[in-house]
Amino acid sequence: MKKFFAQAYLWLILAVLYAPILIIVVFSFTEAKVLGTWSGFSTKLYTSLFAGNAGQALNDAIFNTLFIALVAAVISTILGTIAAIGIYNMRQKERRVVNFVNSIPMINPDIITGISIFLLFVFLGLSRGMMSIICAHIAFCTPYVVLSVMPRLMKMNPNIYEAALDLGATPFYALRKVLMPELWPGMISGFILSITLSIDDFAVTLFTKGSSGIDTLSTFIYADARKGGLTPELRPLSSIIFISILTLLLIINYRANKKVNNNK
Amino acid sequence: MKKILKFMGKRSNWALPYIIFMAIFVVAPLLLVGYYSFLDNEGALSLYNFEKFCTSYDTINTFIYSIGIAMMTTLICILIGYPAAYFMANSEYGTPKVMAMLFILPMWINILLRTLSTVALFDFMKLPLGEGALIFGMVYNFLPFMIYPIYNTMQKMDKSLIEAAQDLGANRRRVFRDVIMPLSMPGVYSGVVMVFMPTISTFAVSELLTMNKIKLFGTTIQENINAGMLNYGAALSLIMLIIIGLTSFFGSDDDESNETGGLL
Amino acid sequence: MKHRISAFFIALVATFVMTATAQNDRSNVLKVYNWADYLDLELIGEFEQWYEEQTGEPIKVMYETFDINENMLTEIEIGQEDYDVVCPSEYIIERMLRKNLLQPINKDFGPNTPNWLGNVSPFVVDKFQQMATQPGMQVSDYAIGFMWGTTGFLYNTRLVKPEEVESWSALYNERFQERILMKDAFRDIYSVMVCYANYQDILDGKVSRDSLVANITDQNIYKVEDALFRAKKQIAGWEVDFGKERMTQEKAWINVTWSGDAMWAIEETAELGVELDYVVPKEGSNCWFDGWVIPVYAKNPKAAATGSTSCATPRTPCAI
Repeated sequence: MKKFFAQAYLWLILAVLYAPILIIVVFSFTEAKVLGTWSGFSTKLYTSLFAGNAGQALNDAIFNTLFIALVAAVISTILGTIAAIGIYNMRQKERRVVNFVNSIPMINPDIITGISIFLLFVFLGLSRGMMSIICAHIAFCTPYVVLSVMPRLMKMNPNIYEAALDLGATPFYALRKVLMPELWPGMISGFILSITLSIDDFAVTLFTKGSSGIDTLSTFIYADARKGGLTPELRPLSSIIFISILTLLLIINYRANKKVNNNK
Repeated sequence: MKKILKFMGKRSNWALPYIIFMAIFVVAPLLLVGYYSFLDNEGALSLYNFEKFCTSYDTINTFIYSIGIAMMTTLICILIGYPAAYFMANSEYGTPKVMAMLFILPMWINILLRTLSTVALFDFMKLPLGEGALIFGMVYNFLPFMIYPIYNTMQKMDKSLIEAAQDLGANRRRVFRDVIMPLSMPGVYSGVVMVFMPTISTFAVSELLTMNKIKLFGTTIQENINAGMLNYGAALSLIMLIIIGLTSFFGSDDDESNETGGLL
Repeated sequence: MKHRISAFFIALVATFVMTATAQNDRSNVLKVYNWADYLDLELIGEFEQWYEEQTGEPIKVMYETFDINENMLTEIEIGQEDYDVVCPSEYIIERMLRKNLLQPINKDFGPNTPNWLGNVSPFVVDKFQQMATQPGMQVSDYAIGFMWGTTGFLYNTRLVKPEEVESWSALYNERFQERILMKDAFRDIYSVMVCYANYQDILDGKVSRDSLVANITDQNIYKVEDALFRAKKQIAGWEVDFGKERMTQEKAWINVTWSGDAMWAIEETAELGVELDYVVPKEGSNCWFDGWVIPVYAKNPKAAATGSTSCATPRTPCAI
C-alpha cells in the first residue's frame, strides 16, 4: 500500500512535468501555425525543418549553438584540466584563493555574468561578436571542468607523474600518456557538462552577442517568442531533441543496469 | 621560450593560463560592475544609484516581491521535492532507478522552450496567465534542481546509521525525524541555493508567463541595461549579487563533491 | 583513435580562429537596424539586386530588429555598434543629433541612381526640421522620413462596441478585465496617459498636447503612474510584438498599439475572419515619425545612403 501511494505520487509529478513537453510533441505533428490548434495530422513541419526551409535565421541559430558549444567545451576542457592539475599542486593558501575565484561563475546568476562581460567589452571599447560569446561561455564552463577533474586527481596516485619523469619522459609526454588517461573520465564528464551549459545558456549570450547578427537557439527563441507566434518548426526541433535525449538516457541506464547485473 | 617551458615544468604553475583568463573574464567584469554602480550620471563617484534604489517605491516593491516569489517557489519545491527524493532513494518503495533520470530529463530542454510550452499548456486549458502561472512555471522549471541534490544526499546516506537507530529502539517517526532529516539537510541546503538563486535572477520566465505584467528584479535589471542606464543597472546587479552571496554563504557548509561531476 | 580525436579537435579550434578573423569585406555589407515587422523581408533581396544593378557592386544586407527606441539607442550610443542605417522615432533622432551620433547622408549617389529625396512629404520634412539643434542645420541632411502614425486602440469589433473605446477611460471599464494589452514603450504610453490625465486642462485651453508630451514634469509622471495603477485589473500584460497574435486569437480584446501595427493586424486578421478596427481616443495621442538615419559608427555609409533613399522611391513599396 505504501508502495502504491509513493509511486502514484511520483508518477503524478512526472505527468505534470511532462505535460507541456507532450503538448509540443503532439502539436509538432500538425501544420497549424498557432500552438494549440489542430489542423489535421501532418509531418510537414518535420520535412520543412530538415529541408532547411524554416528560415535562414533558425538554421543559422542551430549551427551557431552547436559551433559555440563545441568550441567552448573543447577549450574549457583543455584549460580546465590543466588548471586542475595546477591547482592540485598548489600550496594550501593559494589553492583556497583560486578555488574561490573558480567558484564565482558557478554561483553567479547568468544575468550577472552576461552583464559584467558586456560592461567589460563596453569599457574596453571592443565590439561584441563571436569572440565575446565564446569567451563568455568558456568563462562559465571551465569551473565545472575543474570541478569534474579534481576528484579524479585526488583519487589518483600522486607519484606516477614524477615516476614518469624519472623514467625519462618529458613533461608533455608524461601529461599525455600518464595523467590524461587517469583523468579522462573527469574530462569527459566536464566536457559534456560544458556542452550542456553552453547549449542551454540564454542570458549570457543575450548580453554578449552585440550587433553581429549572431543568434543561438536560445536567443532566437526569445526574440521569436516576444514577437508572438513561435516559429512552427521549433516544435519538431524540440521534439527531436527531447526524444533523442530520452533515448540516450534510457540506453545509458539500460547498459548501466546490465553491467550491475553482469557483475552480480 | 625555454624560460616558459621551465616555468611550466613546475606543475603548480599550470594553472596560470586559467588564472589569467579568469582575471580578465571573471574578476575584472565584476569589478567593473562595482565600479559602474558607484558612478552617477555625470561620471562622478557617488552613491546616487543606491539612493535612487532606496527611494524608488517601484523598484523596492519589485525587489521584495521577487524575493517573496523566490521564497515561495523554494518552499513549494521543498514540499514537493523532498518526499519525491525520499521515495526514490528508499528501496522499500520499489521505484525503478530510471525515475531519477526522468526527473532530470526536462532540465536538458531549453528553459525558454519549457516556459513557452507551459504558456501553451495554460492556453490550451484556458487558464489565465498571471501570478499563478508564474509560480507554477518557476516550480516547474526548478523542481528538478531541488530533487536532485536531496536525492543524491539520501543515496549517499550511511544506511547503517538508520539500522543503528532502529536497533536502539526508535520507531519510524523518530528514525525519520532524528536521523534521516538532519542527515539530508546538506542536500536541502544545496537545493535551496540552486533554486532560490536562479528564481531571483530569471527574467525570461516571468516575461513569458505573465505577458510582462509581473516584473521581477531580473527584468528590471535587464530593462535598465537595455535602455542605456548602465550605472543604475550595475548598482541593481550589485545588490542582487550581495543577496546571492549571503544566501550561498549560509548554505556553503557542504563539500563541493555534492555539486557536479556525476550527472550521468 | 585518440590521435584522431585530438586532430579533430585541433581542426575545430583552427576553424574557430579562422572564422573569427575572416569576415565579409565590410564594404559589401549593409547593416540595417529596424523595428521588428516593419519591412517586408522580400524587399531585402530585391534591394540587393537593385543595388548591384545601380552601382555594379554586390551587397549583402544584414538585417536586425529592435523592439523599442531606447534599446536601439543603447546599442548605438553605448555599445557603439556599427549599424549603417537605423530607423528611430523623431524624439530619438533629436537626441542623437544633440549627442552628435549622426552623420550627414552623402547625397552623391553616382551617375545611375536618381536622387529621390525630394519625394519625402514636406509635412514630415518640416516636422524633422523642428528638431534642428544648430542654426542652419538641415535635418533632412541627416534623416529621411519613412513612416508616421499615432498610438491608439486596436479593438475587436465583435467583442467591443465603438462607443466603449472613444476615450482612454476604456482602460477602467471592468468589462475588459484582463483583456487589454498595452504596448511596452515608454514614450507612447506616457504620451497618451498624460493627455488623458490632463484632458480637462486641454479642453480649457490651459495647456497644449504638444507641450504635455514634450515637457516631462514630476507632477505629470505621478499622474500617469497613478492612472496606470488604477488600470491594473484590466491590463492583461505588456507586449511589444505579440499583441497582434493574441488579438487574432481573440484572447485580448483591446490592444494599445501603433497605427502602423494596427493596420497590418486588421488586414491579417480579416483573412482569418476576425474583425478589428483602430481608433484614436478623444483625449489625444502622440504622433510618431520614424526616419532613416546613419550613425557615426557606420562602416558603410555609402551603401547606407543609397539604401535609405531607395525607401523614398515612388516605386519601391517600403511600406508593409
